Parts: sequence; structure tokens; C-alpha cells
Amino acid sequence: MSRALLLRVNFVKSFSFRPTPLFFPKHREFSTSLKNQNALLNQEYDVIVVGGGHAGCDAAAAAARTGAKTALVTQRLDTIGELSCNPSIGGIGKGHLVREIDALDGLIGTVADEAGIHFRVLNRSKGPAVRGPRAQMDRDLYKTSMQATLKSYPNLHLIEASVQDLLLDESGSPIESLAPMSMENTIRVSGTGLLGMKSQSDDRRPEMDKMMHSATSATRNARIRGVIVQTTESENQPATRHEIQARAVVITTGTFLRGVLMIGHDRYAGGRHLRDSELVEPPSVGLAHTLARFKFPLGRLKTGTPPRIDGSSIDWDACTIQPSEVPAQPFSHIRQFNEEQPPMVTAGTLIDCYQTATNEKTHELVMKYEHTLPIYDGLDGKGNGPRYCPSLYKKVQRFPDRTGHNCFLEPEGLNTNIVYPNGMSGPYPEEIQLKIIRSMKGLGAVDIVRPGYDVEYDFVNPQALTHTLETKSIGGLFLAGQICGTTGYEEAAAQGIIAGANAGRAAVAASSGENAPSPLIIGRDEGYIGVLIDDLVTRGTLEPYRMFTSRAEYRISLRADNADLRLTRKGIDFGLVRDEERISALDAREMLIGDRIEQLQKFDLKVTEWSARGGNDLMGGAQVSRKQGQKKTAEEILIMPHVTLNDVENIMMDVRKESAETSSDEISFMKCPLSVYDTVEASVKYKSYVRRQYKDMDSWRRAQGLRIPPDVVYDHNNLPTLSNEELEKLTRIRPSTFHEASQISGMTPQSLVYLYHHVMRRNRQRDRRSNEPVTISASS
Amino acid sequence: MNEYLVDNNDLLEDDTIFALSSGGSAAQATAVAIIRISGTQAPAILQSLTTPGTPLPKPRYAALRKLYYKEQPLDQALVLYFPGPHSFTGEDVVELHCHGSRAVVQGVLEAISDSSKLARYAEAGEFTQRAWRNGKMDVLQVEALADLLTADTNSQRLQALQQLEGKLSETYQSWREKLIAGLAHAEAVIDFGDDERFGDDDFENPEVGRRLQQESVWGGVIDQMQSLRKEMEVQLSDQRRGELVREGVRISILGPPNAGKSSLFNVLAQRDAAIVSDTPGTTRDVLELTLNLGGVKCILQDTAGVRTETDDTIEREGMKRAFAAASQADLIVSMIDSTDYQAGITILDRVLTECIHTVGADDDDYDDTGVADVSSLTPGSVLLVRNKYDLLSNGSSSSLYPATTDDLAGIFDISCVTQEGIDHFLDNLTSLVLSRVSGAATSSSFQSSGEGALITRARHRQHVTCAVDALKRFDFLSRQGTIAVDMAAEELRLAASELGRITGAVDVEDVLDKLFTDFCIGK
Repeated sequence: MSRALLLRVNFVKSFSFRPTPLFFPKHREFSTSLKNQNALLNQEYDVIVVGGGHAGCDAAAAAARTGAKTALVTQRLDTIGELSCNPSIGGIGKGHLVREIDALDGLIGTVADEAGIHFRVLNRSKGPAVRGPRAQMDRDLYKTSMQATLKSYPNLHLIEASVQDLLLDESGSPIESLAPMSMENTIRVSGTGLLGMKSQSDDRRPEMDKMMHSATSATRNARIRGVIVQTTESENQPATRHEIQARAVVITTGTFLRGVLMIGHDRYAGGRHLRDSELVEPPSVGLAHTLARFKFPLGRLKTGTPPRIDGSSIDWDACTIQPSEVPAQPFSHIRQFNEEQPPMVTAGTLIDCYQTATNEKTHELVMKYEHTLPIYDGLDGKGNGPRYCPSLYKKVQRFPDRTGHNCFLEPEGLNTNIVYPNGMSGPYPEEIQLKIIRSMKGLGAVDIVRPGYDVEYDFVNPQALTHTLETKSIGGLFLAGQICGTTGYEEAAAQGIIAGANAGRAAVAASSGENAPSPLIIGRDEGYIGVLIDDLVTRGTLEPYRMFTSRAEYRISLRADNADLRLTRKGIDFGLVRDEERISALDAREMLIGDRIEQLQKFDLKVTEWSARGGNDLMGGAQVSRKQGQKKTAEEILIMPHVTLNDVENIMMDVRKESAETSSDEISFMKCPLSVYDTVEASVKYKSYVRRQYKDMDSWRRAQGLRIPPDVVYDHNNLPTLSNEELEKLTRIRPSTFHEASQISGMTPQSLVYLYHHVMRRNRQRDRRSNEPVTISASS
Repeated sequence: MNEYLVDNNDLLEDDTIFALSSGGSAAQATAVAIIRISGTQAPAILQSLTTPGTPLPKPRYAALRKLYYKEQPLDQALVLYFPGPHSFTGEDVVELHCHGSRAVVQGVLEAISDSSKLARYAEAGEFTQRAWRNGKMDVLQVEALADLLTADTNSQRLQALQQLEGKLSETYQSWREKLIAGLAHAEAVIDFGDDERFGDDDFENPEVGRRLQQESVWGGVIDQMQSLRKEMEVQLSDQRRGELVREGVRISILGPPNAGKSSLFNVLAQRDAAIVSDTPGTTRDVLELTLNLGGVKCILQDTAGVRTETDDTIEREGMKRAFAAASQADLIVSMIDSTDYQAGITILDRVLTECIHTVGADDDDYDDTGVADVSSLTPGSVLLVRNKYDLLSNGSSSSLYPATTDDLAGIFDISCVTQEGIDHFLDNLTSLVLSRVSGAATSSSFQSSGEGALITRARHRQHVTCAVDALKRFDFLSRQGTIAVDMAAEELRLAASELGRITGAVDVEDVLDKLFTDFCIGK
């Protein structure tokens, strides 16, 4: 019958880029010797992940890591891991997300290291908190590497079929969420924050549970039972329909929900073009209808991809070269700890990127052919696209004074001539695209391989989801990725890993008859993943959402260098991190960092001596000389903006050498990986900021178990800075502790801190009043 | 009052609300009573009270209408219709100016609540709350309205009006906009710097490089932030004028036992507010009353007499409280008995030194206000009053002065018994109060100078102080080149969120909006 499906997982131990085998819980009844592809369709799964993009890949892998028997269902197995738009991973904010996913043992980082052919840390000259690792991919390497990883992933099956609809249990009576956000869960969640706070309150009261449950996860109208798929038609096999049973389903269909592609005034249905091809992949229409039937709030967004050009027709000498950094900074924490370079760096097969720019001629063409641009569904025909990644037309229109905009020319791989002109999206008719691109320096004779196009698609307002990414109306249904209104591979993968982990944990517990497990939720203070999901589910989004470091209120703490310190332990606790090597690397790093900082704290010199040895300029010059007699520790010296850990440690070693009492092995520092060095330096430099944020967070964390007096009046007189929505919810729910208050959707951490201070002041005033003399008050 | 809110989970924002908005209650007769109705049902309710077919009055024009309920006439009333959003609450508002008798008011209220299932009696402050929700007022204006509604004195009224007009909001808003513009600049450099080549690096000479980086990263932002900080500092150095007007100037009467403090207190109160006897130590607690001096609200405090030593634990406690009151005061009336001058001066010297020294040393661990209840007690805030002047032979004690004379705002001889010197003392006390709240030279009464204090609450002061501190750190960090750009931005974030807390919440979207409008960004 349908032979078009299924690659089966056969525990091939070909972990080319995983130095040690993974220790996964073996699934209960999972047979490894299935030959019949149809058998895969007829099995029952814990989790089905729909879609094989960046959200789907990490969702499927995460679910499988939790021990769930997982199937990834996608229209075409050969497009799993496709980079549909730009050939790069990471960047500022995005690189942070990749590091965090890696810290939770996700895939995107290790695969990107495998496939990377050009590495660069953005913001290298700026503070460590805002540095973002980024790499250019060889598209083929990325895809094959991702597919190889998934094919050999324990507990994971890959099925080629198109998902037509959901199988639902709509018994009429209210249905429990599969992954309820109960008290127990959330205490644990907020108790293992970056700041190392342990949970304070363990007094679980059932009525509180009940209340919080209803506040945070509305009763479901239906529960998922699985999906209805149609297999792909081939020469000798007609398409067939199947029902696949599953306890949880994660939908990651990207731009495929009622997707419409546009070039000029041409519109045609599709989720995306197959790479460098005229062929399109069909949109998901049935799924869109099902979501509409359940009254999911749907909106319409657009995004665009630039034309691909032929590198052999580019005059490279006319452009500015931008080589890769060597040595490269990999995404993988393990690789970094082992000081192992990505394979293409070791092999020396790296590519150079180039830079050119638009000019006045380009801008003239852009405006002249304005009328040939598509008319969209969203925003009265203008289309609702990302503000930060505007089309060339938008840039020229909005900044008429600019005479040029940067364009980065990024080769798409080692074995291809195709080049991605970053920043040049604009779905003009193909001949116009050619005119525009040829107006640029170095591109005068360039050929277009595939024209750029826009895609407009449905997205689900993510406010319809809880923090686990389970939908509020259908139990067991999770959404992740672009379907939730985000843009970017990294944002998609970040949601994927959380949705997959929660779906997997909930389904495993349900199939073994256990109580619902604690949901995996990353706090805003723990990671960019937390910021992303919290923003989405509490505020929704009006445009394609992209991560920026400016979105993180705890930016100083959430660095790319310490993603493992922030998240890996939590990943271990939630069964998502099982890789022994990753765990021991974390232990070693924590130990080395702690030791290094301790040495800095113990060592002190007179300020004048620091200055004499390190140079007046470096050690703060004028500021230092004012306090000559004072002593300062190495840590205090390192806090100054331009002092490096190297500078300080060199001085420390010199001083120790001069001192006769010190034995020689104490003189030099233990050699440690660069990643340790970076984290030590950043931890010291940001200490005061982290402490301030810690104080903020700490005061309310400690307060979580504290009671909120029942007579607090939630109005703007008492709490002037809280939003209308927050006041309304507080008034309705009347939380009895701060912990409960923190669980109300839409409550921001700042508001909680503010509420905390209000209550504390109120209590103090009351205390004071009861101690005060009785006063008479008369008016004249 | 709030029980209603608590119990009714279905309380909807689009309910139509109504209330008797003029003073008094439905049970009290007044000449005119104003009933206000706000919400979508307001015009329909008005129509249901008038004869069928009567048109709505022309918006914002008064019209005379007969009101009926169940076909019985209720009253003849002046009615006004304000269609939203051009109304106090931003919703449709109807005002009924009825005759103020109990029967009329109760009848009309009953008719309204019967006429529409969607109308309900308003919660306290709910009209204002709606005005705020609908963007008709910001937090500062809401505070101002509350101040205006509770204003006792002329100065309070003028200050509240100024704030209500939005003058304060404008200032805070403009500060915040400047901060956000600076922050957007930093965020653009951070989130998009490498794409757009803000701030190049790799210079031969680190000093030159740092300066060039600083320019390319911050442009004019450093200077702008510096002048913004100065502006804030000017407002902070206002000696709490605004808070004094709003909260009242605290005046403590302090002195040895039996100096006549309670007598003065009663004279000023114009009644027997405190028990007076010849027995020293009659007053144990701190007594308070509110005075209106030259249009400024003042809180006068009578305290227990203080002396060097006592074995009486109750008296000791009373003295402790007297000290506490004095150190929180804005003005101190130090009072001594002219007939026992030397003893009085000795004690006062000690007391005053102690009080002026302890000012600001509040040991309260962490107050939400961040600023301890710092008294604005300064050396010029102490008046010396010599009581029982009538018992002295003329001029016999005038050569004796306390060591702290230079710190005194004036010396007055009075007699609480004969009322001698009281008027003179009161005039001077009033000018002292006025000069404290106007921030300028003594004037005869409180005038709106057009430059009222910006800071009217300790809450505002706390936030502005924090913002200034953050800008100080920014000033250093922003001069350190690109390496410290994230920390410098952190300080601007902090400053902006502190100011945002004065007028309303701060949101990252503000910054992003600014960023995307002002900077060409995007790969």
C-alpha cells in the first residue's frame, strides 16, 4: 500500500556528534523490529508532532527524551530540517535562545554546529550579556544532519503523511487539561530559578489548587485523541486516510495554515516553495477549519524571503569581505567545554560572507514599482509583517533620507553557487526583482535563481495557550512555532522544546495512570525561552514576534555564556536532560567557576599597586588614584569596565611568584576552558546588577508564601502602576498569597514586586499604628 | 463598600453605573442633587424617565425635563447629556440636576435602577476609575482628583488643580520620553548594532577608539541625559514643598514640663483640646489637631514635657514620643517657662541638638518609599516661645539665650493666660509656614505662582530619586565605550521604569516603538 511513509527508528548507534550514548528510558512496548510501514500508522502514540520544521524537530526530540513514544508526522520527510528562509542560525537574542535549547539537550544547537560554515559572535565588542553567537549554515548539511539525528533518535518515529484533521473526544462534560498548571507545579517552577532560590512554600491547600487551576487553565471543551492523516500519493500507491491515536498532539505547521504565496500580483495557495524550485508545498486547510471550529482566535500575518542569486555572477571584489571567526564559538555547551571546534572549522571548509548596499538608483526602482507589490489580506491590504525585518520597500518608504541600506551576501552552502542576499526581501514580479538587485554594487550582472516571495498565513493568537503551550480549549493539544505568531527558527525551536517536553511528560503520566506531572515552565528570570513564551501567552502578539535582548528585563543575567548554569539542572529535574556528558560538564563548570571567583575574592592589593602593575589607564586612572591607601580585591578591580580577567590574573601570578612562601603549583591558575573564563568575567562584571535584580526577585519570591490580606483593595489608588487587566483579575481572583498572584496570567514580575511593597508597607503602617500613642484629631 | 466588588464575579466593565454625585446622601435634603449616570445605557435610561418620544438633549447643553416613573411625575430637572468619549468617564454620561429632597432623590435613584437591568449603583471612586481606564486621566491626575476632593485649604486646592490639569504629568511624561529616546538608541545599538554598523571597533589607540565608539553609540544622548538629570535634581531640592502642602506642615510644640505647651495648644485650637493642669507631666501622649494657617494645612502637635531625668516609666515613654514627634516635624515651637528660664534653655539645647541630628537617621529597614520619612527640619525651623510672660518683671530674662540662638527663626514672648503676644506669634508662625511651602520669601497668603511643586507625594520623590541615581551611573558607564553599553542601557531602563511608575506602567513596547520609528533596522 502506501509506501510513501515512514522511516523507522532503528536504534542505530551512529551518534557521529554525540560522544557518549544517550541513556533514555526504554519505552514500554515499543518494538524495534517493525518492518511494515503501515504498522506505524496503526500504532498508538503518546505524542504526535505535526510538522518537521524547527519547532517540530525539537518538539519531537523533547517528547521522545521524556520517554514518550513519539511520532513526527510531516508532508515530506525529505524537507525535515529545511531552512526555508535565511541560511543562518543564532544572532543577538536568537543566539541566546539556541544556547538555552542546547542547555536543555535540544537539537538545534548541535545540528547548527555540525552544519556551520561561517561563525561569528555578534556584538563581540559589547558587554557579554548582549553577545550573540551566530552561524551560517550549509543548507544541505543542516538538513541531512537534522534528519540523521531524528532517524536514529530513541522513542521517535517519522511518518510521511499530511494531517487532515484532529481526532477529538467531545463528550460534552468538562474535560481536564492534560497538563494542568497546578500549585505544586508552579511552586517547583518558580523555586528553581536562576537565582538559586529554593521554593519557600510547600503548604499546598486543595482549595487553592482548585482556584488556581481554574484561573490558569480554563476547562477544556474537548480532548485530543489523535490525528487523521492522508498518506502521500505516489506512482504505485493511491493516497489513503488513516486515524492515528495519540494522547497528545503538538501542531507546528509554521506558515502552512491557509498559506498563500505571493509574487507581484500573483497569488497561489501554499505553505512555502520547495527549495530553489517552482513547486510549492500545499497549505493546511483542514486544520485551519478545525481550529476555527473551536473558536481559536486566528489572525493573519505575512513574511517574506528575498530572491536567491547565482554567486558565479557576483563581482565579489566589489563587495566587502566578512570572514568567519576562527576559532569559532560553537553553540553546544558540551563542544565548548571540550574545546572542540565545529567539524567544518576543523576541516577548514569555511565560507566568506560579503557586504554590499543599496543605493539611490535601487531606491528609485523600489518606489517606482510600488504598484506591482502584492495586496495582502492583513492590515487593509498592507500585510502584517515584522517591523524589525521590513521589506526593502518598507525601509525605503520609511527612511527616505537614507541613501543606502546594508545587504549581506551569504553563500548558502559549500557545494552550491546560490547566495542569499540578506535584507533584500520584496515580492516584486521577478523581472523587477532582477532590476532592483542589479542596481547594486557588485551585483550588476547578477542572475536570479529563484525570485523572492511573500507568504501570508493564519496564526493562532497565543493567548489561547497556557504557559505549557497546551491550548486552553482542547486538552492535550499543543501549539508551537510560527503558528503562534512568532518568526525565526530559534523562536520556533524554543517553543518546540517546551511544548514537546510538556506533551511528552503529560502523556507518559497519563498512559501509566499517574497524576499529571509538573509542567516545565521557564521563568522570565531564567531564560529567553521564558520571556518568549510568557510574552506570547500573556500578551499575545500583533506582528510576527521576534526575540530581542531588549525584551528581557533580566538581560544582564540571561547571557549566552551561562545558559547551562541557568537551565540544565532544571532540564535534569524534568527528565529532559539525560546526557551524562552534559551533566558532568555542568558539574565541572560550576566547580571551576566557583573556584576562580573565590580566588579573585581572596586576593587583594593596594590600589596604587594595582595601578602600578596594570597601568593607570586600565585600572581606572583618575578614579583609583583618589583612594591610594585603600586595598582592593582582584574581584573589585575586575568590575571596572576595561579590565579583563586575564589582566587581573597575570598580576596575581606575578605577585605570587615574587612571594617566596608560595609554592610553585599555587602560582599558576588551573587551566580551564574558555567558557569558564567568559562566565567568571561576566559574573564579576555584572555582579551589582545581578544583585539588584536578585533583590527585586528575591523579595517577592520570599513573599510568595506570604499571605495577602483579604481586605486589600485592588484599585489604582493603592496600586497605581498596575494595569487595568491586572487589577481586574486580582479583584476577581483575590489571591491569598503572592504565589497565587504570580500564577494569574498577565501579571508581570514588576507588578508583583509592586504589590508586594504595597502589602508590606500596609502591614508596617498597621504595626506602627498599633504602637502609636492615641491621638486626638480636631479640626480648627 | 468593596464587598460588592468581591462578591460579584461577573462585575462587568460595561455595566452602566449611577450614583448621587453631589454631597450628602439620599437621606439628607439639599437644594440641588446631581445624579450621574455613565455607560452605554445612560441615554436610554434618561429616555425611559421622560415621556416617550422626548428627544435627548443636545449634547453638553442643559435642558429642562420632567421626569416620570411608572407614569407618576418624579421631578422637574435640569438634564445634561455628554456622549462619549467627550465626557468625564469617556463613556456616555447623563447628569440629572434634581431637587435635593429625600423623596425626589430616592425616587429618581429607584427609577434608574428599575429602568435598566444593566445599571447598578456605582462603587466608590468608580467614575474616576472609568475615566482612568478610558485614558481620560493618568495616575497622577487620579491622585490629584483625590487630593482635590479632600482639600481642606486653599493651598491644597491650588496644588491639586494644577496637578489635575496635567502639568505634572506633562513634565514626567517629557522626562520619560527623553529617557526612552535615549534607551531606544542604546537598544538599537545592542540588538541591531552589528547589522547596521553602529559603533565600529578595532582602533589602534584605545583612547581614541573609546571616544569614537562613545560618539557612535550614544551621539548626543550623554548630554541629553545629563541635562535631564539636572532638571530632576532641581525638582528634588524643593524641600518637600509639594508634600507639605498636601500632607500638612507638621508643627511640634516641645519643651520642659509645665512650660504651658498644652495651654498654647488649646489657645491655637480655640477650645480645650488638651487637659491643662499645674501638675508637671500632665500630657503623656502626643496630641494632634489640624490648623489652617494662611491657607496652608498644618498639623499641630502637643507633646509631653521633656526633662533630663525621670524615674517614671510612663513619663519616660511620653518623652520618647515627644522626641519622635519633634524629629518628624517640619517646624518646632520650643517652649519654655520664662520664670524658670535657665532650666528650660539647658534642656532645649540638648533636645534640639538631638532632634536636628537624628533627622534623616531613620532606622526603618526598608520602606517602600525608599526615602525614610525625612523631616525637613532645618536650623531655621525652630521658634523659641517664652511663656508666662505676664509673670515676669519687665525685661529681666532677655539677656539669656540658648546656645542655639543662631538656629532660631524667632523668639517670642507670650502669655497663654492673658493672650499677650499670641497674635504676633501667630503672624510669624504663619509666614514661616508660608515660606516653607512656597519655597520663596515670606508672602501673606498662599498664591499659585504658576510654578507649584512638581513632587506632591513621597511616592513621586522616591521614584525621581532612583531615576537620578541611575542617571548618575549612566553618566560614568556611557563614557566607557561599547563594552559597557549594556550596563549603561540597564541604568536608562531603570530610570525610565522609575518614572513610568509615577504616571503608569512602563512597557518594553514603548521602547520598541521608538526604536522602530527612529532607526532603520532590519536585515
